[in-house]
Amino acid sequence: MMLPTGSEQCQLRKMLGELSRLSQPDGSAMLCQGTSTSLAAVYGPRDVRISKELVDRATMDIVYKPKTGLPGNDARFLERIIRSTCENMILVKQHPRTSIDVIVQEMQDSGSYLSCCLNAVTLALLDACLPLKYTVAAVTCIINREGELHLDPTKSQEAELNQAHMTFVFDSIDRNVIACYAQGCYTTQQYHTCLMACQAASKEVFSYYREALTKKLT
Amino acid sequence: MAVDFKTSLPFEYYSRFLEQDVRPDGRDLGGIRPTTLNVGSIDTADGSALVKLGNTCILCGIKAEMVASNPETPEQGIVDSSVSLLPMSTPQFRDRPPVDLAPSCTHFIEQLLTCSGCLDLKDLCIEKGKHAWNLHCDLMCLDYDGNVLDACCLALIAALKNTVLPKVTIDEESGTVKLDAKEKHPLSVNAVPVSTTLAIFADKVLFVDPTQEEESLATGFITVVTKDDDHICMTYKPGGSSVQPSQMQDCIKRSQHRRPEVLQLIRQALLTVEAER
Repeated sequence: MMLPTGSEQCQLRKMLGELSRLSQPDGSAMLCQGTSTSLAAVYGPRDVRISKELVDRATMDIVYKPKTGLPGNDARFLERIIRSTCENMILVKQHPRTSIDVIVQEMQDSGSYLSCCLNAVTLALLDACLPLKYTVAAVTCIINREGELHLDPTKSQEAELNQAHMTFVFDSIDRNVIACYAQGCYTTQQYHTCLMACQAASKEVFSYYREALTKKLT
Repeated sequence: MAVDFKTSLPFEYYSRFLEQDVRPDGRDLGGIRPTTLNVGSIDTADGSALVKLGNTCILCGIKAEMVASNPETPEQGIVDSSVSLLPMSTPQFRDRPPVDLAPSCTHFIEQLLTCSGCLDLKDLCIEKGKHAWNLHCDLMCLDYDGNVLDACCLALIAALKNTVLPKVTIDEESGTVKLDAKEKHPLSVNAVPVSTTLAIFADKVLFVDPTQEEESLATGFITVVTKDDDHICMTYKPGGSSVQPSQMQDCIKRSQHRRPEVLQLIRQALLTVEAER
């Protein structure tokens, strides 16, 4: 398998974000990765409906809104990944009998959308000043038909006949894998190479978080 | 005494066992519950399979319907799948049904069908641009005792391998379509994806094939689907505890180890059906 050599294919697209864009939520963030844009809002910890109340921890409620139409199975799948990731990132046991709601609105999907959503959610959680165990960074990559690795693919690159499409989510402390969704047809070696490439690229995302927060606080 | 301990402190109860590399039901960390597979049990479906993985029970039925081709993909047939977790399958779903569990299982199965390449959609075309087969794959969970994804995957593949489609003859002059119920041909299944799920306990111990009890205590799950001896078609870890890259490699190794057993199981089940015919 070929390792990324060119500078363009082993780089993430430019990240551009805006915190506290919405006035009502406790925290919100709009994040553009290249032209992929998503808007995340966080409410909470706030009142929880009795039927959803958990006595030992906060209830995480994730809503993903697609641009058009009703949310389908893919939206639920995305919600599940976001929810399990958030549950681990937020200290849910510190807020028993409350609800933390995260709403993600699709603005524009131009590839690597799962990672764009997860990064926007992390920024929104940081903006809401919720105590977090760590922050997470998501990076997507593809292995194209020639076996080359591309980080942060665009929609047109994703639409081609690729060998594999992988998204990894890393924590900020040990850079271990929090979540992973990889599909296609690949060997263990290829998987490992992609994991390592994404792990290295996650550094860029973390430094962007720092930059965005510094900008907000100064 | 042990029952009281388990009810009051389930986490500690499990920890005591896992310290000794064994689980309360007697399995070691890599042990998979006894699996039985029965194919062709539903007469009215074109293909069917019943999987029992320990107590987990999944029924898969495949119904082929002849439809007009999709104008966007005139040379291909259509496959749709759905996973339903019936209310009778577990008391856990009654008061707070997990809204995203069944739809995300469905999405997982749909993705599995596309990326494993087990079906060639061109095989489902009857006449280009006019008629095509639409395969409805319905998976039903009758008994939920953990690890539905693995059971669903096995049920689906066994049912697809069991599917036979009636021969279609088209009268060229009048354009009428005739189905020959007597002459049937089997569906060609090009790959056999095998799924293996591991649960993470207390952020560090990994074990295969969790029961529902273990799932409620687990802090994360990893599902690996192998396509053939050295290729993987899906790795899915929806959040939860973090794992090191080397542990992910370990999970992949374990799933490759599981593969031959499942293939053998499918082969045997199909042989018994053929013997009966």
